[in-house]
Amino acid sequence: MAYPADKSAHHLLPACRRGDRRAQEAFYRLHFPRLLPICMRYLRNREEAVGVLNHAMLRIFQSLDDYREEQKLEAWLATIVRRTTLNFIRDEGRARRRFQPENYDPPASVANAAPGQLNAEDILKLLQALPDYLRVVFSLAVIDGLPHQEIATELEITVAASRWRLAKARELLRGHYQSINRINESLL
Amino acid sequence: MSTPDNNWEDHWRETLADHKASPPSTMDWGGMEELLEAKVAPLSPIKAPISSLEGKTLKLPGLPWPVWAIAIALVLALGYWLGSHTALGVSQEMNTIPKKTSLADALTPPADTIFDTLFSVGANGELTEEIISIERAIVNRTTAQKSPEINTSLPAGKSPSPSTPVNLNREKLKAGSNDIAPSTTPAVLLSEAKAPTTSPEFFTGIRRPDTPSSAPGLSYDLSSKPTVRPNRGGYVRPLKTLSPPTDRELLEQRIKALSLSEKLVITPLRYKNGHFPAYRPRN
Repeated sequence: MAYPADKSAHHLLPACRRGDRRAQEAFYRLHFPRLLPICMRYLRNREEAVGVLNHAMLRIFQSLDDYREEQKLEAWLATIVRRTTLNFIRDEGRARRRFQPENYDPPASVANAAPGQLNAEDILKLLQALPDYLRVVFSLAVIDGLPHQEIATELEITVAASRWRLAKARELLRGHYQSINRINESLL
Repeated sequence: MSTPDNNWEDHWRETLADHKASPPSTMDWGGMEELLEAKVAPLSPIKAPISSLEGKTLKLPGLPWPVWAIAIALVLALGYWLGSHTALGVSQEMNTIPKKTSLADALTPPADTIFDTLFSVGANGELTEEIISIERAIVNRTTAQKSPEINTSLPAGKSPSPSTPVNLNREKLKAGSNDIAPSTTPAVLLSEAKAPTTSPEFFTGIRRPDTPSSAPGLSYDLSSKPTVRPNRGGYVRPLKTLSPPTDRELLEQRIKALSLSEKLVITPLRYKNGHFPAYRPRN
């Protein structure tokens, strides 16, 4: 029996707890579109984000017994996905690969270049062009709204480093905006 | 607070909050399924080993105090014995380590190191054996033994010709008063080792008269002065390329090499030639 796509996640939870594979697939397909952008704004590309999201979903299936009904399921899932993503980044950072400074290589073009009119795909494209050590701080500070103290704790860096990375990311993105605007004005 | 500078940030936050990615592909779910099949059983929290002791307290076995006293004394005695044993071994090892006080001591060999043994023939035919050390040549002993005269089968009064091949008559060699066999005399050994391998028939150069046994059959008296050959009316120095080095030249070369090798003491540059270098102000 196939589970309907629009069936509420709460109805899928008991079957998922029992390990029903079809229920797990329906749960996965239902929440995948909302959870994948969380990974994508921290990681480099979609393939990496899908890999990390699968590990986060595995943790979700293993922790369904801990979920309480009064909690908001969407927020609970997002929290697990974000923590799994940060753990992944931190593990890579321990290997001293991810947080090495890199050159900023912005995307060649975005669909619409007005600063306040970018769609989500273009925003993600710009974010993923940022160096890793800047993109993570920018996403945590601007998109998730975490304070620098918490960012520093999550990434095992200093507060000053977190501030500097956020300023650097803003500077790069702003400069990229200006260059795109100049190109668009010349084309008009 | 919203400022013009971060208006775009607010827009980004709202846009990404409402954003939905495309539905997962079959490959995405395939990866998820592999993970689920690899870890079907839910992971139970791993308990630390110490958790098995929760609620229990570690208690030493209840033994009477004399047993504890004896056990502690035994442990102390064992520790003392091990400590003294280790200290003795370390002291013995320290005694066996050679002491090198300075770099000069480390580089200079001992004074009694025998470097080489040299045999030289004096002008009067004395064979002198010298033992050379790197410190200084030590004249060990001088044997007043004349080199054995080598007689030829040529009649007396007839001067030998270098190109005349005459076999050496070794039976007529006379050993000195010493019990050293003539064949093992250093001069003989040295002359045999340095003899040219070419046949005398093909040797066209003029031979130096003090070259021993280079022309077999010739007889030279080492006690006489060989620099002048009466039958030629004077000494003609042979070409270097055609004559092998004589024993004397070999000895001189070795002595020169040894004398050069003695210069192991590194002297400061300012004492070169016994003088300080000229003062040159730096610009």
